[in-house]
Amino acid sequence: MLKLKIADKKKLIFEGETDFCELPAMSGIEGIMLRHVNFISYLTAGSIKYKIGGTIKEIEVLSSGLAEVSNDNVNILLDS
Amino acid sequence: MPNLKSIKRKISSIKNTRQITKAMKMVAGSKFKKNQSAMNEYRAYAGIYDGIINNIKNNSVLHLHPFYGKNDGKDRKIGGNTGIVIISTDRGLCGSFNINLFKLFNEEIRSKGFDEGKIKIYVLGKKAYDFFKKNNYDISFGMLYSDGDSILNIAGLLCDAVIKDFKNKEIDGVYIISNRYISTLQQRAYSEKLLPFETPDDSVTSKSGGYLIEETTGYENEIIDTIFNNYFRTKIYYKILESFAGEQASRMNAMDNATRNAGKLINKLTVAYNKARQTAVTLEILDIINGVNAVK
Repeated sequence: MLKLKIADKKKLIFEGETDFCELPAMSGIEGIMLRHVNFISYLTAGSIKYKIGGTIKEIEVLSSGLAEVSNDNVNILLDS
Repeated sequence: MPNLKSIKRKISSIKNTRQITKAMKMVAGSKFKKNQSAMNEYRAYAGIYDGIINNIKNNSVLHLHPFYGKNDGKDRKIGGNTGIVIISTDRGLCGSFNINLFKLFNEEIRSKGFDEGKIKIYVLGKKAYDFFKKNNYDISFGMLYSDGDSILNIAGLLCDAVIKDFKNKEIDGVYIISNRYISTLQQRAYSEKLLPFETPDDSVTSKSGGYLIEETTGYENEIIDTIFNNYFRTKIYYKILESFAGEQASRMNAMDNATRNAGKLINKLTVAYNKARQTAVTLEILDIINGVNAVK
């Protein structure tokens, strides 16, 4: 399982495990599954999607953000 | 015999003081709640950013970044200037909140063996500004919260000043001394090394996998630079928020103590007043009885 953490400057939006998530990265939408290569990227406006037990949840990214993937940990910071 | 009138005057003046300290405690309490929630809101963001930086720190490619203090392939010379960031408060009457900072500052200088003439001070808050000015330190950056800027802007200005000096090699290392908020009853001064980033042992470096840094607008270094700069800003901003919450908590405690002490003092003086009054009454009765006896 991927450990996903999402926070903005006001609160922790989500922390938990997920099978799959999708990020609006600068160069296009990135899908992240288990054992994804480690990477850092900025996010643009769009939506973050993540899947928990068959249901897909969505979070809007309004302006920008930063995502980091390392050893099945996904950390996302939103600048809003 | 103590003067009845003077005791009474003392009691009423202490009562006034108690009223004031009580009111100040209330004010600090409501401000504290606001500052505390601001701090808690930001905590998640700062915590995750910490984690990210810790993860990518081990990547040896990044060690070329100036924040590691190793740019140009050569180490900085030892014994250069040291930058110290101090986050204090604008106002007093908050117990030992600021004094603790100055104490820690002196301790750090002694324990780390800094040359006092080679310290550059970056200071926030009036109390610390006055202290370092009085002691003739080299203040590179000083700002008061009451200058009217938002805290975020103040943090930004401070970071820009520190990072600029660090990149220009005017300072070799940056430490921060600020109060950490532990609980409502406990705030403690801490010092932390901010720059340069510690390079981990080689063994750790080889273990950590490489990072793909997504190329966007330009060169990789630019992205890393922004990430590190923002990290620095986030860290300092969080410290300021923490110091704010701690300040009000500390003031609340100080004022609570003052109120309680005033109460004790009033009790003591009331006892003294009653005793003095009783003595006066007894003396008067004695006088009367003596007078009656003399007439008989």
